[in-house]
Amino acid sequence: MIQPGLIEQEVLHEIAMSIGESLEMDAMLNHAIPIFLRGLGCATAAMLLCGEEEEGGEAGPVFILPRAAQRNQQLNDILARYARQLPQMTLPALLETPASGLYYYAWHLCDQKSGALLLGRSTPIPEALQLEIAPLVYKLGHALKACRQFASLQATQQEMARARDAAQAANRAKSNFLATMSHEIRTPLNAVINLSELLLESELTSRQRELVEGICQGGVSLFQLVNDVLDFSKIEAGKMEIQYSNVELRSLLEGVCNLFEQQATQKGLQFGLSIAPDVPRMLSCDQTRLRQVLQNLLSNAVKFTERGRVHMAVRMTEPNPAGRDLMFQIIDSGIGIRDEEQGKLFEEFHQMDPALNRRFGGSGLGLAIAARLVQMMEGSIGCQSRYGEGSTFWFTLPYQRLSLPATVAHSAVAAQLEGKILLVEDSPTNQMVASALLSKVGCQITVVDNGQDAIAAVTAQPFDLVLMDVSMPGMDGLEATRRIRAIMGPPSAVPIIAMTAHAFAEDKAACLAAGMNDYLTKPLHREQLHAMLARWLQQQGGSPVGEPVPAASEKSLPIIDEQVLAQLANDTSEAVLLKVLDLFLAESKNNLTALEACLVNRDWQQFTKLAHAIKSSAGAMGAKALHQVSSQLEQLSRQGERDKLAALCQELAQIQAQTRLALEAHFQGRMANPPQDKG
Amino acid sequence: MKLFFSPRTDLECVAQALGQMSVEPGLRGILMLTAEGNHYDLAQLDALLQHSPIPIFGGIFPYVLYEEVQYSTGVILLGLCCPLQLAVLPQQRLQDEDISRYLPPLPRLAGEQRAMLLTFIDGFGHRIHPLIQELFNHYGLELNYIGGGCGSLSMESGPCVITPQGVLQDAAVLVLCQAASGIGVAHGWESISGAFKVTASQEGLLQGLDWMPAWTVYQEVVEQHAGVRISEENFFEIAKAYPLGIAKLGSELVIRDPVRLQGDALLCVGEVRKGAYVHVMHGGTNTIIQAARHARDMAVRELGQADAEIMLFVNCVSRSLFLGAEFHRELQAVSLPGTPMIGALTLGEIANSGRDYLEFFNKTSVVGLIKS
Repeated sequence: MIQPGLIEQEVLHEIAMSIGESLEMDAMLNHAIPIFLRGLGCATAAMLLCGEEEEGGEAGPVFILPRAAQRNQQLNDILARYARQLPQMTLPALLETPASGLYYYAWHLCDQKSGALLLGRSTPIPEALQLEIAPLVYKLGHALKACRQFASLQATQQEMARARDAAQAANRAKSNFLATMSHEIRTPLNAVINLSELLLESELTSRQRELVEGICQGGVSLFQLVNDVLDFSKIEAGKMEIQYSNVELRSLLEGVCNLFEQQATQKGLQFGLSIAPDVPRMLSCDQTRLRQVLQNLLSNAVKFTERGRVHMAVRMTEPNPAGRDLMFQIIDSGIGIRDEEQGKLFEEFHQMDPALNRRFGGSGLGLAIAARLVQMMEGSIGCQSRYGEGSTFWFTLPYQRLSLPATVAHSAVAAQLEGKILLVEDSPTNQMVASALLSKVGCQITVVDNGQDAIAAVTAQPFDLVLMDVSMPGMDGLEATRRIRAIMGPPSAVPIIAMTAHAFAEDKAACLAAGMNDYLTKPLHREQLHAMLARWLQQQGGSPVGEPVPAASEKSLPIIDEQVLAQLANDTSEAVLLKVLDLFLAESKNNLTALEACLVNRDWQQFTKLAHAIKSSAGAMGAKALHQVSSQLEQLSRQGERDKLAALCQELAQIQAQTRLALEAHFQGRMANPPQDKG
Repeated sequence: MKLFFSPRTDLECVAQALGQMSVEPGLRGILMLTAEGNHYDLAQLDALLQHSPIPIFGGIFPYVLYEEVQYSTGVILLGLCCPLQLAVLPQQRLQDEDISRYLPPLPRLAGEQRAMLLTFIDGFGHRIHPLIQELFNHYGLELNYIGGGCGSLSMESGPCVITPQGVLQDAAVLVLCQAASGIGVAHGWESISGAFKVTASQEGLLQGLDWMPAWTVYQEVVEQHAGVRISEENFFEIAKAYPLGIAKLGSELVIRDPVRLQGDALLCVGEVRKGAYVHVMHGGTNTIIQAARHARDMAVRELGQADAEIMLFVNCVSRSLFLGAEFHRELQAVSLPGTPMIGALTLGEIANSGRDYLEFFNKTSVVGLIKS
């Protein structure tokens, strides 16, 4: 026969172990209270808790088992009678000796103020057992306290989550608004920049030129700010996509450095680029975004450095478990950053010092954008700085060495841009800008302002290319394209290039799905437009991109000699070569203008000198066609055969323009100052 | 009340008796207790149940009890005239998270009167414990509960719960009767071991005791006490005399009957919760029989012998197996002169007289005295 005392210990131990199984109050009580009842041979339990704010006040029942006991008259009478008194009572105690029904006992929870547990049993509970139960109820009280704290914490967390969701929703709305507004601003702003650039190419007084240049520079600065806002909004809205492609790293780095070298030099800074020998020649990355990060960091470095140097160093990191990374460092001897500011550097809209902000300007988004872009490219970014001594901004990118075909994009050359272009655009401003840019390269332009007229135009006469706005009142560009494709046949019939303000990948996909061949983002940039025209007009003529294209001259000479250019780059550096080419293009253009003036003035001596000068520099720069035609001009002028000079001068002007485009295509937009006609 | 008993195994006598009962004035429901030895054609029985104008409920059991005799064949029909509400809980409803929505509401009774809930459930069903818990939570102490587990002694699951919808498997039938009753519960088993902590279990499958395989612990205690080796072959024969008892205060330990060995685990009828302490139990013939008498006395105390119209004796089949030839003594000990006794040998028992936490018992005698 077992001793009752042992059974007690077993039951009490089982009860003790059942307490606190969950932090959810209901789950915890639903687990523990039945074990109290079954183990102690009780039939009813009621848990009374004092409110947290009013501890020590009247205790209210929060849990009754069985649920049906809520209807039990005896229990309700006891609760009504004792709820107020319990905190003042000495417990455990028998609350009532019934004539019928159950014996109800009560125990305080953790303390007198926190509440009580009532148990009802059909037989009395011995006093010794009451005292044994007390520590269990005490433990139950602490478990309940933990549950209440957990519930309170959860409520706070839910409130915080709600607040966070609301803030994120507001932030998304803000980002969408900023993206929309930025885009709306970019369109007229681009008109300002492009039209003022065109204005600079016309005859102006020096005062007028000064004012227009001011407009142009202001526009470019504002354009950059707006671009920052748009980029950041796109990142925040999750609409920025990383597009990987094979990149020749050295060219990319030199191109970026070239953008800042002149500015740095003008400030009297030393500017340098070092690439460690083990850095791979090719890697896979989003070159646009990599360039953007480098430009942001270099721009800051040059901006905030008054003396000393700005240097970019690129090297491979030591191997880590994930492989090796590519480390980019932009080192300057600039103003440096205080320790307390360094943690906030990559936060959006953060600018170190209002005074500096006034002095240097900027959106405060550059580093935040750089950081987000690096994160999106699976890299990391950071900064070490000493205030007053300088800073090193660095970022790493994981890289993959890729095996590439021997021929890379460098073989793209200039194209014949003559062609009949249908411009479908509803905005008069955009019509004006696009028309100006197109006519500048000698294209014939027909303008319509809606999709319906576009269909009528392409069915009425042949076009070499259609530039199609996507969003137009009435029939939009996508529908117009679908109908043109239905009428005219497959996409190869006439290239249709989308022009859209919507710069996201899905917009491009929609354009291509509608039957368009390619895609230009508005506002239009002349380089992008020209490159696009060169590509598609060449393809129309059966000269696909990547193959040398004959020059316009009857001699079918290559416009440029890539071997000469490669040799020059090798002898100096690409950055230096690009600067020299820029000077060469400007000089040849000026000489050409002077040559035409000599033709009008019949100044043959000067004519011969200028033709010689053009020939000379063209030969040096590998501008093969320009060299040959200018050589002919020089020779004819010397020989007095002047009847052919005018025609040849026209050809020379065309070749000069083609040379510019060919060089631009060759260097893929890395020219220090994208070649422009200087008027 | 209208009572019918026949030891016959054919359904014709059942149909005939039901036909007679159906014309009795005032009958509102018929309790049907049948023995598995009848081997009824279940399709025919279903048709009989479904077409009866008076709802029929109850179960198929290993044995039925009638007037101090246990029968392996036969049928008992008890026509009830009291107001009653019936709920059938097929498997799908038993698996519902909220069983309470299917439970009939408590009737409003005058004064101290208490209703009685007859509960018959598949003894091999999977939702016994949740149903018992929900019944107690829903009705609390305001009812007298009596009932038990239906099924076959072969320990194979099959249709066994008799309902107006037919004979169902893994189901329960509940009948809330506005009839006065007295309930007594006792088993008479006593601990022969120390306590073992249940360290692993899943519902009725007891896997670990004191962090050892349950079978190892149980085997050692039983062999030491019985003086014979216990193995898989003679498990049922020996184990019927050595149930387990879950520790509790204030009354007898709650018995769990290990009916089968599953690897190193003991399969019990009813839940053995992890964290509980269990003892290995044993009982002498006299003690066990004495407990049944004690249960009857409790019921008499509650209702009063003079008022009892009928005795419903729900007794665990394993008590009969344990007592063997002595079992008739238990029936005699329980019987009350002048009060007809009907009942069944069940696979687990359900009982509560409004004073204790509602439990599913094993190896226990439950005596219900009913006044319609």
